[in-house]
Amino acid sequence: MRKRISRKVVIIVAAAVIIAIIGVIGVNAAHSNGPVASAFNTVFRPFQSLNSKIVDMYESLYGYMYKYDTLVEENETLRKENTELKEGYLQYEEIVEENQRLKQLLDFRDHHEGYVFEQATLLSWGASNWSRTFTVNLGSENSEIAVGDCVITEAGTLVGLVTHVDGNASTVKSIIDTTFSASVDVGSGNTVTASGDFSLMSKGMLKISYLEEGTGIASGDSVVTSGKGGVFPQGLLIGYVDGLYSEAGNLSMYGSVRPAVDLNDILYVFVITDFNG
Amino acid sequence: MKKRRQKSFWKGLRYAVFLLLLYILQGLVFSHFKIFGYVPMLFSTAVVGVALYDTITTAAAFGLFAGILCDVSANETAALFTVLFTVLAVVIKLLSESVLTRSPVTFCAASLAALLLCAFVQMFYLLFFVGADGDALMKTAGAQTLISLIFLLPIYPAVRFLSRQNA
Repeated sequence: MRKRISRKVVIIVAAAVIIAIIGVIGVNAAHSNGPVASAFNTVFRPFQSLNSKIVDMYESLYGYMYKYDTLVEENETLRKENTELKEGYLQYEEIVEENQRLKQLLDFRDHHEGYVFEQATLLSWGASNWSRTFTVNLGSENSEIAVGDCVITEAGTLVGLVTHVDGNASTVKSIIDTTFSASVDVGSGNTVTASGDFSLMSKGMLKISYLEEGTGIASGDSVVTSGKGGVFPQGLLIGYVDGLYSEAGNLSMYGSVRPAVDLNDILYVFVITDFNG
Repeated sequence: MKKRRQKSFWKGLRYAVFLLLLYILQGLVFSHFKIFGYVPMLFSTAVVGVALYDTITTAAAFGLFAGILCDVSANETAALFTVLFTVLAVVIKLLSESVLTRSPVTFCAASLAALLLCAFVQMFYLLFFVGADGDALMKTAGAQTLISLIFLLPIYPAVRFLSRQNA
């Protein structure tokens, strides 16, 4: 009995010693270059490498599963933030544009004291082949607009005349409408009448009539309101002379005038509700 | 009685939707996206169709509201089309009950006549009071009429469908 127990104890102790020795060698092998260390590394390195790979795979899978929900949430938050930023940027652009318009108007106002303006938005053009009128969002209930008020852009370019006023909207006859008419100065000191012409209306132009030869009017001359008659303030730019032609019978000449601003592009206008004149 | 009122209600609703669609097309869509540079006249063709195939009361009411919407879309303040389309609807209806047949050919011919009448009424003031160039006015009248005739094709089935629904 004693011999058996002793034998078993010896075997166990011997195994423990061997394992301890292997452990010591393993620790030292990481920091030495001897033949024992090399042999140890050669045997155990593949197992270490496999173990490392298994750990990496596990970490990667765990990380994917754990981080996926976080990434989805973060993506959603970023999308919302991006949408808000985009909306904010659009508003910023609108404000910048409005600021520029008002600055231009301020510059115009500085040169025209006594003018009272109201800003309006162009709602729609009339659906007609026989006239060129548009509707603005000012009416008798929300402004001082009245029939006969002239409509300009922020740069002081004349674009129309108010012809009808409702509660919340008004109709404006544009400068190329056939029934439009104004006394204008062309070039240097020539006062003539600018009016709409049905033939020129489809080309987006108006007409200056009864020009005598030798007046010195040439293509490119600016056409501005003369202020005579009291309907339009003096000095509002209408456009530029595009071409000069002879009337039927060669008794006089007429000119076509291209508006200074493309009427199809205007969105915001200003109504002069009062001026000194 | 109740059924009759319900029927009238749905009839009115169908025609209201039709009018709204015409207004959107003529007043909003084609005023921006013109066809060869011209806005087609859709209301007159629709008024002719309704007058031919429905009752006189419906025709007159349709003409009235079509005229109002056409005046609004064209920025006309003199209620030109309000009066014109109402009268046109009644006249077409009376003629359809005595002289005209209710056929596609009659519809096309009456629509052409209505379009020419509309063009003449629109250019009347410019021709006789403003002194606009007659040739340019005729060219515009012709172009407007021709462009509008294209829309006989979709409007005819629409008015026939509406009149069958209301029968």
